[in-house]
This record gives sequence, structure tokens and C-alpha cells, in this order.
Amino acid sequence: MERLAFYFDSRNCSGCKTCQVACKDKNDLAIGTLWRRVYEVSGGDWEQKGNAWVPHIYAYNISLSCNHCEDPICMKNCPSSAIQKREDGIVTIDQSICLGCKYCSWVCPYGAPQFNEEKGVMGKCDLCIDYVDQGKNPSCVDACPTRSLDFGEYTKLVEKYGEKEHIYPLPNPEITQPSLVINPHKDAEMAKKMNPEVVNMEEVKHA
Amino acid sequence: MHNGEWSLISFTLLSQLSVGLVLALGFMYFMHQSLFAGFTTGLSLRSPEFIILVLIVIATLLSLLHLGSPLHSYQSLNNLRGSWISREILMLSMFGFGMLLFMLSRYFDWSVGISQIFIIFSMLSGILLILAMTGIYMIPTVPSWDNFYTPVSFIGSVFLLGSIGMMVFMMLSGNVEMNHKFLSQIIIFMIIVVAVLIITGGFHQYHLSQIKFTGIEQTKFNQGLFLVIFIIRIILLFVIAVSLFYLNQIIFNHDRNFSMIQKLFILVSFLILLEEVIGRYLFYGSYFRVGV
Repeated sequence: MERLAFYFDSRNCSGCKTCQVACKDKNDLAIGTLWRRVYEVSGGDWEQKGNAWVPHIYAYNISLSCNHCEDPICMKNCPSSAIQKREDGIVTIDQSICLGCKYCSWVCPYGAPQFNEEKGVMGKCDLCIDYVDQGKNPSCVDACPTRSLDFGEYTKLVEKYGEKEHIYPLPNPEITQPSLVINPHKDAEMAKKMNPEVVNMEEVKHA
Repeated sequence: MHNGEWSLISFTLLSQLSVGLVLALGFMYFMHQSLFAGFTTGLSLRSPEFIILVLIVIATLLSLLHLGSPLHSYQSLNNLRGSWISREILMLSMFGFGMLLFMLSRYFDWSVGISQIFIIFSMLSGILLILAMTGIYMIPTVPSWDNFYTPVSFIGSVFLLGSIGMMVFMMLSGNVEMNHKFLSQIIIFMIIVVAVLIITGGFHQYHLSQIKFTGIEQTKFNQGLFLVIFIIRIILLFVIAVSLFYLNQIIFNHDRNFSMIQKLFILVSFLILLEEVIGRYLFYGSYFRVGV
């Protein structure tokens, strides 16, 4: 069985959010709904060493959508079986039978399924399934000006970029086995020791 | 609180109340037939079966309120293999159906054996309903729910609300004065349940304060509104325990006044309902998930 996946390079991402806008545009999403979100992680402190002040600061971005997990916790728990996985690993929501109970959004550790107020059902990234079926890339991947996003078969992405540790704010990948390969930012190690936080939550929630 | 959670609070509490009532009814049906004999049956607000059925219907309607597409609700049984929600809905249906059959069997005077089968069926479905409800909330990605307190608080609600219901049923049938020993046993049982809720509630609050946050939205459990509401709930539980203890004392007085006992019991019942709503509000308020 194929396993289509995203690659994200946190070292390269400038946080311009073009991916977010491309996704919103392609899927005609309402205000407050983002199927791809860019989280800005930044913070830190200064330390006095003699007469000098040394910065211990960190700043990086994480661009995140549905990761079409190998073991999707949303699909397992969906009461109407509206969430299904295709042969190529794409996890989709059949809105014609979705109850809109929002349970998938409770359980997903990536915040992927989001409630569509207008339709009363859940929606999420489908990897631009129509583009994929035509042999094209998802819109976010092609829109990224810094080429921080890539897309393809999981094992090939791992071969190409290597398998690296998932960084804050990503959860432990063992929970759902996300189809996501990342290149962690160098600041992530320092951030981990300094109680990091996402600083653009308002924007993420309301954009 | 997110929109729609009030309907979930009402649904979980009402269905746990219904299960408690059916267990209480079953207990009286099998263990205290003499008390059961005084109950009205059929479509009367003095009939326990009818009251329970009305509660189940209200709970079911309330559960539809939090759905974005209630018209798709008939699809909710599609995933019995994997989803606790599907199992919960199946159990709720079986539970209500069992109670309906029990009511019909009593109303039309069917044989006692058939009534017994229906009430046992309803009791078992009710227990499985609580099990399914617990499964819904014990989510591995929600550390504040995925612990011992979720089943304890749900079972505690079933027992406390069921005990209140049993006393109300006795009042409705005019049986309160007949059996003060049985009344006292119910009250002692309630005191034990309240004591367990106080102790486990304290442990749970400590557990919440120790959780290492891995999510982006961090709930502050040891300060602010959450802590204030938790303290109010614990104080309420203490007041309930003391009131129940006092109630138990006056039941055994020789010059006991049953009118006063009933008034005090109604007051305690109100405090328990308030405590249960606050407890469930805290439960939903403690939600946070790992990751983003």
C-alpha cells in the first residue's frame, strides 16, 4: 500500500504563510478555517556574562496540515465511518455522511479536522486529491517560495531527506504515525529546554 | 467551554441519571418487592418507568443538539467495531428499548418472568452504556481525561443520582415511612460515594497539576477559575456528606418527622445536582490535547 506524505523543512521556512493562503484559496475556506497552518515558535532570554549580554533566543516556524497518518486516530473513532483512507494513504472525509460531532477534532493531535459552520460537517486537508489524481503536487507544495515543502511517497521522502526527530509543538509521532518527514530547525533543541510556546495562536485561530 | 458542550453536559448527566434510576429500580424490583408494589405504572408522572423513559428521550434529543448535521445521525452506528460513540448510541437505544418493554409489560400485566427479562436487559444495557461513555472520553491524546477519574466520576454520578431517584420513587409511592432502615442504607451508601468522590477528586486535581504539557494550549489547573470552581465543588461535596449524615441521624430518632426528612432530602438532592453540573463543567473544562 502506498503512503503519500509531506516533507517540511523547518530550517528553510521563512514563515511567509504562502502555503496557508494557497490552501485556503484552493479549498475556498471560510474565515477562521485553515487546513494548513503555520505556527510561529519563538522566545528566549538574555544572560549576563561579565559586561556582555548573551542572547539565548530561538525562532522557527512549523507548517502543518493533516498528516494522513498511518494509524489515523480520527478514522478509528469516527462513528459514521465518514473518515476513510484510500489505497494511496490519503485520509478523506465523506461529508455526505459526517455527523458533525467534532469528535475527530477532539482526538487529532495535529488539529487537522475542522468544523465547517456553514455545512455543519468536518473538513480537512485531502492532499489536494484532485491534483494528486492528475499527477500534480498539492497546492501548498507548489506555492512555497522557499521550497520548504515537498510531497511524495513516505519511504522515498525518508530516503531523500532522512528521518529526523519531530520537534515542538508536534506530538510524539508514535501516537498516530504521521506521514510527515521534517528537517528540524537548529533552534528547536534550545527551545525544548526553555518552555517554548507558539506566539501566533490568535492568528492561527482566526485567520 | 466550546459551544454545544452544555448539551453534552446535559446529555451525559441525564443518561447517567437514567442508568442510576434503572439500576435502583431493578434493585428494588428484585430485592424489595414490597416497596415496588406501591408504584404506579403506565403514562403517569408517578410511574418510575415513564419518568425514566422521558429522561432517556430528553437525553437523546439533547445529544442531537451538539451535532452539526443531526439529519445524518442515522449514520452513527456505522463504526461499531472501532468507535465508542457508535457503541454508546447502540447501548442507549437498547437501554431505552428495554425500559419501554418493561413499562409495557407492567402496564399490560404480562407475566413477571417477561418483566424481569426486560428490566435485566435494560440494566445490563445501562451498565454497557456507562462503559461506552467512559471509552469515549478516555482518549490517549487527551491526558486530562485519559486517567482513573473518568470512570470513577461517571460511576459516582450513576450511584449518586440513582440513589436520589430511588428515594424520590419511594416518596412518589408513599413508601418512605414504611422502611426507615432501607432509607438509612441508601443514605450510608450515598455518604460512601461522596467520600470516594472527595478523595479521588483531590487525587485527580493533583494529577492534573502534575501533567507535563505537550500541547500548545496550556490549561492552568492550579490557579484561576478552574481552581476556584474545583474548591467550590469539594466544599459542596463536604456539605452534602454532612447533610446526609444529619439526615441519617434524624431517620433513627423516635419522634422522626417525615415531612422534615423529605424537605431536607430535597435540599440535599438539589445540592447533589448542582455539584454534578459543576463537576461535569470542570471535566469538560479540563480538556486539552497533546500536539497542536
